Amino acid sequence: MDFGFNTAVQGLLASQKSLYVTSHNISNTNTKGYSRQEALQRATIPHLLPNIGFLGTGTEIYDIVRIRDSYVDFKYWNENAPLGEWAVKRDTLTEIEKLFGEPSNSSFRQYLDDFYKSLESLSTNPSDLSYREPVVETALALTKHINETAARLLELKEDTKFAIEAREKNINSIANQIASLNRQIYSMELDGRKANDLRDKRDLLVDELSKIVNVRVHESADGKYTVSISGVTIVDHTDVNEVKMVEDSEGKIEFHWENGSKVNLKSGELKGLLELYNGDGEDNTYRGIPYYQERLNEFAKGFAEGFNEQHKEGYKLNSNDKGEEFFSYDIDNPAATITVASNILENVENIAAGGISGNAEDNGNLLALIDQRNTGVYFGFNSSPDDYIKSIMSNYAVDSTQAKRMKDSQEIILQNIESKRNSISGVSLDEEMANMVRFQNTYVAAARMITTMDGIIDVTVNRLGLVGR
Amino acid sequence: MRVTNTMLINNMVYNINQNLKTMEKLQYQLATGKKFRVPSDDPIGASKSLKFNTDISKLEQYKRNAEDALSWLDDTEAALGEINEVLKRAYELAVQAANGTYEGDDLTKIKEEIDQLKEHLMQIANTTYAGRHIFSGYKTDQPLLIEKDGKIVYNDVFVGDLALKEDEVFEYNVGLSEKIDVNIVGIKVFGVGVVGEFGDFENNFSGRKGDAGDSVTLIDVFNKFSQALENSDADGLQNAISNLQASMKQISSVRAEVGAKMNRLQLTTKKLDSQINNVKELLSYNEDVDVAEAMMNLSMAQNVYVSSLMTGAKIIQPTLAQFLG
Repeated sequence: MDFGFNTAVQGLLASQKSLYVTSHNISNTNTKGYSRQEALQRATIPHLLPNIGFLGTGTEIYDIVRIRDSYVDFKYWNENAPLGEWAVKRDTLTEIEKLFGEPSNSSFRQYLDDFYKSLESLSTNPSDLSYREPVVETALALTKHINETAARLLELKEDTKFAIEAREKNINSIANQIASLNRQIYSMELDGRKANDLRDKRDLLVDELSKIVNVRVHESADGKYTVSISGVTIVDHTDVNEVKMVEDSEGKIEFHWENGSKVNLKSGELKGLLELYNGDGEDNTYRGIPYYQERLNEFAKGFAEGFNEQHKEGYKLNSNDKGEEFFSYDIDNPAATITVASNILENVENIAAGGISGNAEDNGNLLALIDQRNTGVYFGFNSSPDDYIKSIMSNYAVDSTQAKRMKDSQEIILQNIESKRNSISGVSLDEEMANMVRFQNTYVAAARMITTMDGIIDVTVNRLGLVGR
Repeated sequence: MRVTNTMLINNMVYNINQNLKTMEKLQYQLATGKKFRVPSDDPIGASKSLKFNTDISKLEQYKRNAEDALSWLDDTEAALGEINEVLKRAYELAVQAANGTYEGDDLTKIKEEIDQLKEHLMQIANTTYAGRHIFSGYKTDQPLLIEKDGKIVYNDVFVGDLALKEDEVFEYNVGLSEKIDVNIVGIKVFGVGVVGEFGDFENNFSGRKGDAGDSVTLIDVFNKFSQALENSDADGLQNAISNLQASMKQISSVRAEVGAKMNRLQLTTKKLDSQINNVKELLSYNEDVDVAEAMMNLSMAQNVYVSSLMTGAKIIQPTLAQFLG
């Protein structure tokens, strides 16, 4: 008799547990990284009634599992790293584009045009001092723009370094969190059941880490969890192999493992940032900030040198003296220091306009200086300054376009994977509602069963055998 | 495929964002009238724009240069015209004096007028344009001729290295690798040395240097004329006639040169105008937005955006929970 009663109670309890799981799912619909759970139910071991057969003994919830596809996780982590890499590259290259200022009224083109315009104007009025002043003013505007661009590139580099430092802390902190979760999960799972919610938490941490660096995870048969970057483990179960940022003598930044070997990066935000910080475009390295600094220095130096060279061939106004330097700069840091030379600033008559003499209307050297803009003679970069600026612009424009495209397409790929993940692991409220009703009905039915059993026992105990009274 | 609520929301947000991005881009294009804001929007277009802008700035400057040259040449032409008038008047007087009907007082009066014309000639030689002496070669800060010991000669400062040379001609840029000579050096107009010093008359006007104190051929023509009048020298008067004819011939050859240059400059200015227009058109074609097209695209994008919002609102709201008792 107890038999049927117990069976009904088991049904009651199972429905109850399933309802709890449903409730847990609904509560966590919006929890980041949560995967839906399912209570696994099965019939208990039947009872053999001799000569009759097996009698069912009821039901039990034997496990609560999370619904998750580790292959989708693997894909997500693989594609997240390139997204991080191209996103930081895109952001920084957009910054570079903005600070070079093309196309706008505060761009190299504009300042060069203004400078050469003032030289042309002077060439038709070389004896007039009021035409010499604008040459100095426009030259200063040009050099200040170069100085400012150099300063802003330096600032951008510092910002990038700051971002790298932040990533260093991030990586190590995530690694430590994963390690401590590993310990917790390992000890909780000793009996073989999976610690679903903690595992979700751990996967979420790997999600975060996979954006910064390329990672692989592996879980051994006995539940030891390792995370590795390009084959070197950063988290080995409960141990962490921290990474460290190292700056070498050339000012380039690398990441080292605890044992001093170099961290090999294949993709991820960190790789993007390091390439932007270190990349000087030599030996097929990425064209990062140093590359543009170098190009700008080359421009400043080449332009000043070439212009000075031609300027020195001319004569000062009303004098037999040849011209001196027009631009001055510090050879170690040309772009940041280029400016108009002091002899010109002190006296505009020192602008060497004359080609064969210092006579008032001799504009021979001015014409040569203007021609230089087309021919590129004497300029360190062997081309016209406009072409050089244009080639710098093409570089960052093309790189930035590439970064933008890569980021956009990577975003779509990741978007798809995330959809897939949500399709498998996400909570569907409709489904949970349906389940809720289902489990509730079962619960009610099981309860009704108990009432029925109660009725049977009542009959058996209280109503039977009145004969003997 | 199993569809979950998070999926729906994520997709909706992503799509709405994409639509907003399109709208923002079109809105930017319409607000600025430009197709791109950073070079990476269109690397090739941006580098073309760079070149076109520089071209326009150069062409506009060439045009200004051509205008400057033109007004310089205008003044030169006016001065040469005046010299021609002076020579013409002197020639009339010479012919009158030489026909033998004038004598005594008449000749003295003619001599006075000739002396006046000579003074005027010197003034023309020192004509200025915007404060610059147009015939002084590179040394526009110096007058061409001065009066020294009662004689009109080349300026004292043209000494040694500073002697006025024929090649002191300055050029202006009036096009890419197109230059034009602007000034006429005084030697070509006034000549160096006394008449006949270097053989033929024309030889005084080319291949010479204007040194300090050198005599001026045109002035000498007048001096000799004046002297012939003073001495009633009939041969001298005949010489004066032929000298004046030769002078006029020289001046008109210079005027022809100036006229040709002015013609060329006028053509150049016109050409530059049309080039500026062409490049501006190219620039506009390269970087300006077709407003009608952008407007159409914007209203299309707007429709898409609104409908994505509407469907979003419909999809997100109901779940089974709403319909369960």
